[in-house]
Amino acid sequence: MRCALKKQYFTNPVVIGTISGLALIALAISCATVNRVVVVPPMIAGAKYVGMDSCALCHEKEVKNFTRTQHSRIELREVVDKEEVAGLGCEACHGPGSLHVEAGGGKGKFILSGKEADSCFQCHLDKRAEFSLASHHPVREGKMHCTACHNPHGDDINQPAGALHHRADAVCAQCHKEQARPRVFEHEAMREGCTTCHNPHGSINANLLVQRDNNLCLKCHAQVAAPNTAGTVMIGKVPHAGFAGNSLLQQGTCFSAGCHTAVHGSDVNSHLRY
Amino acid sequence: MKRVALILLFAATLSRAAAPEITVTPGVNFATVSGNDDKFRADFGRDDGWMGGIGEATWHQDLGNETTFDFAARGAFQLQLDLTKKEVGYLRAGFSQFRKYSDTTGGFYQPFTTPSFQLAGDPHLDIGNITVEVGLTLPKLPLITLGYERQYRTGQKSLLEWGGVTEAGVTRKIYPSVKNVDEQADIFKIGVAYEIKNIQLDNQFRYERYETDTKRVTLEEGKSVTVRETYQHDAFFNAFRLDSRLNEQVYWSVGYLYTTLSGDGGMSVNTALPVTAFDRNWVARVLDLGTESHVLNANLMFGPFKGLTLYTGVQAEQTDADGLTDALLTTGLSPTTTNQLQSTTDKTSLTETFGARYTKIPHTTLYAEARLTQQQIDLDEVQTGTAADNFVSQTDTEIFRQDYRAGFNTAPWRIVTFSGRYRYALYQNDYDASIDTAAGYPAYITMQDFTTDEVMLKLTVRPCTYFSASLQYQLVATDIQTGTAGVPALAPKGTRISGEYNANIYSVSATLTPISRLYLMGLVSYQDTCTKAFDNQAAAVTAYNGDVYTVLGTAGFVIDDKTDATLECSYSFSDNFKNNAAAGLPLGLDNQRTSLIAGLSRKFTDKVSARLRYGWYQYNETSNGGLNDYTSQLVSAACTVRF
Repeated sequence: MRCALKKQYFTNPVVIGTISGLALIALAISCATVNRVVVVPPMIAGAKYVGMDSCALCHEKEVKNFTRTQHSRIELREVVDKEEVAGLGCEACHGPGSLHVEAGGGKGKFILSGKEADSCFQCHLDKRAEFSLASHHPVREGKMHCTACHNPHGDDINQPAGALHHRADAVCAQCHKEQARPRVFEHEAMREGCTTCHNPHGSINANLLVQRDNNLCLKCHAQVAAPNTAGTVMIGKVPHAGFAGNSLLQQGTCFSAGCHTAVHGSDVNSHLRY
Repeated sequence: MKRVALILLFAATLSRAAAPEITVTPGVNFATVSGNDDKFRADFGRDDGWMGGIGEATWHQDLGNETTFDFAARGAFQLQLDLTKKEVGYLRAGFSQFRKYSDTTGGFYQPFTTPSFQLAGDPHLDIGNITVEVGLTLPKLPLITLGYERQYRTGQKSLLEWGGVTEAGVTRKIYPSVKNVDEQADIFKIGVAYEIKNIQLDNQFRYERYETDTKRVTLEEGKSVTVRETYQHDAFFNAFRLDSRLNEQVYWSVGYLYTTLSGDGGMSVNTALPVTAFDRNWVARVLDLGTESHVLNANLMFGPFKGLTLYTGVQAEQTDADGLTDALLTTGLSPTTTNQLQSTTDKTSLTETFGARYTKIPHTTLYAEARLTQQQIDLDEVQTGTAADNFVSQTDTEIFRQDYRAGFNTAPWRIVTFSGRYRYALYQNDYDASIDTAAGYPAYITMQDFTTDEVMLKLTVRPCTYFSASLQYQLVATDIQTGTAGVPALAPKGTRISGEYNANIYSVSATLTPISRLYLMGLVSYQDTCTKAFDNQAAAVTAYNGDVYTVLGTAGFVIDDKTDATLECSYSFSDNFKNNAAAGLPLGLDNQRTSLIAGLSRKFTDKVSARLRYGWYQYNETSNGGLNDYTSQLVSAACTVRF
């Protein structure tokens, strides 16, 4: 199948045309001289690193508190212009700060705001890949930022800036209030956190599910089986598979089959049917 | 008189204002799609055809007297405004809205004559928020902020809740369904922060009014199930925090969060033409929910000597929740019944955190952290009334969570950075169902342990100024051990591994600038994941096993002093489809996503620049017979003018 895949792409006229065209353009202009150098995202054109000590002159509180953040674990002292300076903690994400310092500071002046996902993706490679999957939060599309869920300056990275709650799921509840609201009958899985069932960064499955088949539910709801009952799946007092040609698990996943649809909790049914 | 004074003041301010810096970026774009345009809409958040208008606009003006005005717009649906006067205050306002389309293709079952169904229309949700915040930043006085936020979601979305289709005596749930959503939250915030003698005081108050009205409809052959829910709550949150850095070595903080929530609503379940025991009509005439929570935490960080930082924290939480419903139940197979359903939850928890960071080893950071949580949850659930399935359940849960992590980050040579992290977590839940009149359901789980091991290693090399590369490996392994109660004549009591999750994630990225005019960036990621639940050899359940490959590439090239070119490509591939159609409903996914985007930007003058982009996108999903496949092309042009 992979050979067929390669053939499919490398015989596609659009792909061939685009690659050839760009190669020709690159060849035609490669001899011309220019006075600029390319800027690799998320760098800042013409800026140099100045070190955290320079940042502390104005952003004293942020720099002092940096040592209690999880990001301080990656801080290393760096050599800039042959001098060892305090680690590039701030500039690792915000970009080199020399132009910002020269301009006397100011919001948005020659510094990355921290809302550019590329800053985070420099280190979080797996997250960058996950955001490219079919189901993902719209970070790459610019409709939300990593900082909507994570506070890079906080002592708990899984906490949005300014949030009142000190609980991981409060991050999700900011937007997904319907799913997070209290219910008469709770689903105990909610105690373990939203990430028990969802991968918030990205998944190949719809609704960011970590699995979309019965494994998602059965990994917690499996009941010890009686001897000589292979092929039968009991949950509570109810056989869910192996008792008939159209047994429940044959028809689909516990929630997608229309049975236990109140996966975030129910107000009227302790079995989370509605 | 006051109005005249204000006008004069405003005029005086403007007279000192610098010329505004304005940029406007009108643009136009065009998309074509061949194949499943529903899927395209869901992926891209737009229709095919022409779109155009002001893509971006910014306005920055120094109004004098240390006052600045900023306005930024992105399309018609993302606006931000900021008026700031240094050491006086600020006014910020924002509006954003985006449309999220749903793909209305349901499940896929190849053996059926019609293996899949798709609903007509283009269900979508409009998701947005409006914010206004005013802040007073007068020196030597408390920082006071007042804010209002309105969040909303309105429209329709598809569900992963599918209706049944029966053919030749075989039933599979594959018929798609949708949900109407009308949801809004109004949030008012007041914040006060002040520093007294090196102690930072901070109080944040929030009031939230939330309302939702949803209706989901599941269609099956010969019947439909409509579930309508209305709900609203008023919630108050107040967080008070004190923190102080006594000196370079000692930092402390304490905080208290109080939350109270009072909600009510209603619900109805209506099954047209009920035919089975599950097909019921419900009306929840009374729904009352309440929550009250107190959270207290205290943290201390200190450095006994240079290079070593120790920290510890404790958080105590007490939460009481209760819910009550009065439900009128009408089944298709038995007489009308009236039930009262009630639950009360009493949750107490204590979390302790201990951590250390050591930086005295040259170019190396070592860290370790332990987080322990003890939790007690007393849950009482009752259903009374005239129905046959009434029950009383009292479950006391004891939870003990242990989470340990340790790691290092080192750069022994300038060209190499190496980091590693190990995490071990054990979450233990013991359920004691002292009363369970339903005998085995729902309180059939007696214990559950989640054991997780995680390893992450990352190597970054920068052998020269024009090349850097990172290699990252992650291993995640989770075992879930579950104990269940015995059900007479049906299942024995005991414990067993109920689920196993294993993932290996490899990521490699590289950045190369072979010449000063060109950069190349690439990322390859491979995930190998497997989830296996205990299935007792039931063929309807198969292990979720598959690979996901992702390849991303970006190139930037300086063509001349005014022109840049970029090329981006993205490819992802997954193969976890397993065809067990004879015994179940296959739900694995084999798909490929490819995109190729070429862009050209040129700066014509200091004030005028333009960019042109062309994108080619393809999606293939072989696991559902190509029903979701599409190919699309997107061309966009934009011109930025600075005034």
